[in-house]
Amino acid sequence: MIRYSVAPARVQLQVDSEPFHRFEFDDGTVWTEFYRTGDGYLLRFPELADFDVSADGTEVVAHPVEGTDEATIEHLYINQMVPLALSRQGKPSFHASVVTVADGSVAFLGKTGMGKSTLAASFALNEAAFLTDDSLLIEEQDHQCLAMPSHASLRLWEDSVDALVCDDAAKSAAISYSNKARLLAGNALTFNEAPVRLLAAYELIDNDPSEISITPLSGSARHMAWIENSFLLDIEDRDLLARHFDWTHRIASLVPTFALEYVRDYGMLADVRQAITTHASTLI
Amino acid sequence: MNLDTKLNIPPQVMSRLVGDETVLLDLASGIYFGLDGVGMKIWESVAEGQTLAQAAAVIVDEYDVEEAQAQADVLEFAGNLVERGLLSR
Repeated sequence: MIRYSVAPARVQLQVDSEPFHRFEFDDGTVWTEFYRTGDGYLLRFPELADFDVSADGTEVVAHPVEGTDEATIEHLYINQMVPLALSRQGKPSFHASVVTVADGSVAFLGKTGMGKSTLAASFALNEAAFLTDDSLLIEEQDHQCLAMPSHASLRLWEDSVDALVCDDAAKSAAISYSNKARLLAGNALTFNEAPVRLLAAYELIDNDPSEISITPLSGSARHMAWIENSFLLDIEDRDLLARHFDWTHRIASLVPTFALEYVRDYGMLADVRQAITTHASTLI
Repeated sequence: MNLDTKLNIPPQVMSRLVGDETVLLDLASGIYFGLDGVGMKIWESVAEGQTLAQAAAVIVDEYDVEEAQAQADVLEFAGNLVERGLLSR
């Protein structure tokens, strides 16, 4: 659980210390800066908002910059702060979308832009359901991994919305820093509210392949796929790193993990869904 | 460092086996490192307290390689891991 509140808007004052970590876009623009404070962390999204996070990750306070709308703050909280704060509680999330397949679920691991949301939307619009768009929390039960549902929405670029024919899906308010549309689950876009056994994970690779290919990852690549797609707030916390190393090792041992390559062509998505469904069915 | 050297795994370095490969994590730097095949055999020998000469002998036993070549490879590989802080003297 996280206690969350939004404080009045304020100016982003200069922080005395240097950030211990930062996320940057490919062009070098800073997306998030991570600072230590006396009693936790300050995460800064330049020109949008600051978020105070308690050391144990149970409390988050948003401090919007004047002019940042509510939808943007809510979006930053749900998509960025919740998984990062949960990592302080010892519940790390992964950059993955998850959909129901063959009496279980499968995860699509990958960084932003690899096609996780498009693939999840494609399933959820075609007789399957999604559990999360980009924040997979896993729980272990009886030596099986369960994928936990998160927020019932998907973020897609407009071209994906058009190509997938998402006209019937409800959209939430636009956010200020991204042109992506946030589609809310409903009759058109099916959401699964219950935990589902994770049958497999597919790391999305984009090597411009000529055909759909699913190949098992070797042991170290399997472990690294989970490590590299983790949300971790404090990458300098040795205890947390050690626990996370063991947890990702456990997941890599329990969840068959594969590399998935396919042509990024909307017209091919039905074939990709079929290939994944057929493949996952063999893992039950 | 020579073939009689016994190296140690520093306390801040964790290793976990997945399938037939190993991933190392240096908690001090946050750097991860994957080992497979020959690298993993050398790591296992070091973890068992063997000298680098004994590690090379394991490689000769399991792979089609001359002893001199195996010893040179082991020394080079071990030197790399020492340089990265993943092994210590």
